Amino acid sequence: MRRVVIILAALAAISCDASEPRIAADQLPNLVLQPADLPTFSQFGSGAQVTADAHAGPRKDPARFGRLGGWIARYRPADASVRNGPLVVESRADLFPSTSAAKQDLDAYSSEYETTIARSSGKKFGDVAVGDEARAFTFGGGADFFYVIAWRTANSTASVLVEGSAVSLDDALALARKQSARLSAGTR
Amino acid sequence: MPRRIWLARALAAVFVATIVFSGGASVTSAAEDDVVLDPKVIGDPDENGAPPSGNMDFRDVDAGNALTECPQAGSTDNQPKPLDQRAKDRVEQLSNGGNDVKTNQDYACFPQDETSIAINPTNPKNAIAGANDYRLGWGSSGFYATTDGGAHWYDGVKPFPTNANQARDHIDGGGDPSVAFDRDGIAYYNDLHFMRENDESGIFVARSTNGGFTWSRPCVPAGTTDTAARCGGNGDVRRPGDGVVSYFADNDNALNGSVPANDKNYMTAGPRPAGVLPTCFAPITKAPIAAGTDACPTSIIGVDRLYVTWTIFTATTAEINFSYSDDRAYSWSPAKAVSGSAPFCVGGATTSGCDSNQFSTPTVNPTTGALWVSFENFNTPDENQYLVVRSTDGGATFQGPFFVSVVFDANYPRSGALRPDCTARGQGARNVLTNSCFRVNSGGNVVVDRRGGDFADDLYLVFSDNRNGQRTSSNTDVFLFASKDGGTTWIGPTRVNDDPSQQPTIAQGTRDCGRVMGRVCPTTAQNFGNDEWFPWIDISNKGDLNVVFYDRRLDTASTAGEWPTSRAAPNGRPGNYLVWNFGAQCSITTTATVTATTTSIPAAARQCLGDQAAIVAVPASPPNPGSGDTIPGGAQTVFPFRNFNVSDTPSNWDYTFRAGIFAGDYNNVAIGPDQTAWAFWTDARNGRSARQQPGRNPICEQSDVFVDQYPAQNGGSIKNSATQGMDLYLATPCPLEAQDKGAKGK
Repeated sequence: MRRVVIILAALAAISCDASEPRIAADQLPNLVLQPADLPTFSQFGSGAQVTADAHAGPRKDPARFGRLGGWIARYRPADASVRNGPLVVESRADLFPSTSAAKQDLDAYSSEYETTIARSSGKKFGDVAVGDEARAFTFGGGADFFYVIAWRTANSTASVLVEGSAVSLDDALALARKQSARLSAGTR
Repeated sequence: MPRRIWLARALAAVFVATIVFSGGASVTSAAEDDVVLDPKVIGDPDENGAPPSGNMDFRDVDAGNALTECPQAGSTDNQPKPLDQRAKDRVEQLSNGGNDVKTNQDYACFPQDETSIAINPTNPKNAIAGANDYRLGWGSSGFYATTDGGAHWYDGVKPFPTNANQARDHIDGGGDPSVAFDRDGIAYYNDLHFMRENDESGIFVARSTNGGFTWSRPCVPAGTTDTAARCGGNGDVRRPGDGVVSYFADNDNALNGSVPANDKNYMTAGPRPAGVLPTCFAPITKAPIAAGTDACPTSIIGVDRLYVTWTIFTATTAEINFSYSDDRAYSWSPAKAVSGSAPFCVGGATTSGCDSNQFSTPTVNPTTGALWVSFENFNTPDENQYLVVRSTDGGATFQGPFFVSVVFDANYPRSGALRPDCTARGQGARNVLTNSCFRVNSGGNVVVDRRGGDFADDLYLVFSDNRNGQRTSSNTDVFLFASKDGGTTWIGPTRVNDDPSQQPTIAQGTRDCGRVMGRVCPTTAQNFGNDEWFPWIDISNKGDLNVVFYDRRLDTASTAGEWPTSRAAPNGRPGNYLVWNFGAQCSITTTATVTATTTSIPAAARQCLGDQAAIVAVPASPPNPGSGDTIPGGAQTVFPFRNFNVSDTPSNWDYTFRAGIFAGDYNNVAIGPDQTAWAFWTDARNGRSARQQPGRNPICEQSDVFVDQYPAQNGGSIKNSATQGMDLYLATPCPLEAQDKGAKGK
């Protein structure tokens, strides 16, 4: 009887997930910031996330939470003399089999960056409006500051990291919202 | 959390508990006062443990697209040229000005790095070299050969080993090159191969009988018995197991660490010790076969025994392994772990096990056949240590490990929370230097004196570390340790690089500022000296020690660079940015035995030693120097090694590979039978900024490999012209002529 209950519960969970908005895996390359989103920037990295892209911490395992895959793109100003605004932009997207798995990954994002800010005198922001739920952090010092927005849209997580000497949360939010629009467009 | 990290953290917890509940008996009183803010986790490659080699870290990374034609400074070939009438930019013109010779002959913007070179003992005009070579679009093993004394080079990618799976019959990822000759002039190329999208990996040795122009193709044998073992398909004439030192097939076709991983190999060749008989090994069972039998004909027995050492990473350990071949690399003895155990190792899977190691190098005495293997060990409470093991019976038994020195590499700048600029550029959790984001390590090598007689037990070992720097301002230096009793006792340190360097004082926060509670880094990063790293040492037949290393001393004040946030505070400081390859020389003409009981080092044994060199006390427990301790090597005033720049031009390593995050893991020098030193290094003089073509990945970034030669004794000289046009190298755009024609709209 107990086994039947477990099976029914699992089926219920699957059927529940099946009715959720979803992003398909073939959308991955379109879920990160594209060159058109940053017209004055140069892309210096783009592709499926590889081993070297994984940070130490709770999001290192590429198979975490049943992860289906991930994409990454990196940008910097095409004009080498630029000093204001973002000097490096990293855009990530990861897909999961369910919303609940994506929620777990967003929690892992929080854990990762809470560790970072604890080590580098950063801070976590309150609510930011990106995607279905979002987290925001800042850290750094001297002439090197970082803002990270991580969020969840349906069964995906995504993040935008901006680095620069003169950057703000608004810089990161503006780019995160551009990327978030791409995730929303990919949700079925 | 991956199982590997769970296990590692569990072990670390046990280790920490052991230290705490044992009252820290293994820790000096000074260290007991130190509270490390971010304690190491032995076994976790993202912590300060044994790191995998660079080509394993980047195994699933693509290196470029071959659309562009990169600058070609240093080329001396007479081959046909591309159709482009490409104008040379100013940097290419300057970079062509010296006598450095580019050995790789490809035109595209693919990197070459991580160098190894050997000179034919029967023909000093024949040299072979190896490097990580990305010309195929991914990392593999490039070979470079000359038979005219280095004036011209032939090159290519070494054949991929075949695996046992007939449906997918080659292992195309490669790297970690190591080359050697035996005394008959047969060339060997030892490397690591792996699949890029699963855990299959192996250590292999290819053979060349024509000076390195063609190479054998190693064969992982198919079949389950020695008699049924085979290579490839019908008509494949290779001997099953040819060139296979170690091999692990994957069990789930995923890149997830589900099987052990081979990594970071190095090889050497030398005579079998007296009384040691040559042996072959069966292809599947590795059962020994006496020479002179049908399965081990004397015709394939080589003049020398070949030795390979490497690291096998499991979920919780990284042991140094050893294998040998008597039949010119056709068959190899079963892998044997040699890193052993010692009272100064802690935190291993077994009590006192020294099972977290990397960067092994072997050396063989050419007169006695005695073998030594050096490696860095990470089974320590905090700072790491260099160890050596010894075999006098061809590897049947080993003594040691013997303690050489503490390695001060826990305080490197590290990509991650403390160097997020490097993380944003794509660097993993690896040690880096101030102003840059390419990964570095402390590894070096050991070499035995070639002369025999009174010198037969003399060894020389180099590594680099950050004892004179801080996390917030690196100042890595190169140190020599010498042994005069066969590796049991060591004398050092002697700082090899002779530029100004000073150890951070207690008032400046010590070397451990920001890492140990109470040690506060200066508000503005101090300049304790310039970085020197990736040392390598060889010795001539006449006792001339030659060291090479990368060096930043000639860049004294630059502030510009390709990545502003990595050059501005808090990540950077003026100068210490551009890179040159440097050499250092010192000659040994006398010797005397020095043991642990020697009270005063005799003058005959003091050649090439600095004034802070002393007999190293062997610790009875894991060493853990206090953050306030004064460390030898920080106040040296006598510099026995004469330094000179080898490369004739600066190089900006931000242009090496993927936003400047990798330029190999080691450097190389070899001395030929005619007493000529051949330095073989990588630099990015032909690399340029990758900003110019959005969406292309990467464009114009690359490094090449170069050779220069000089007499092993008093051969080099400081060339200040090497700083000519230096500012041009700080930020160099990718010239339109070098870019993909599509970007020009044609």
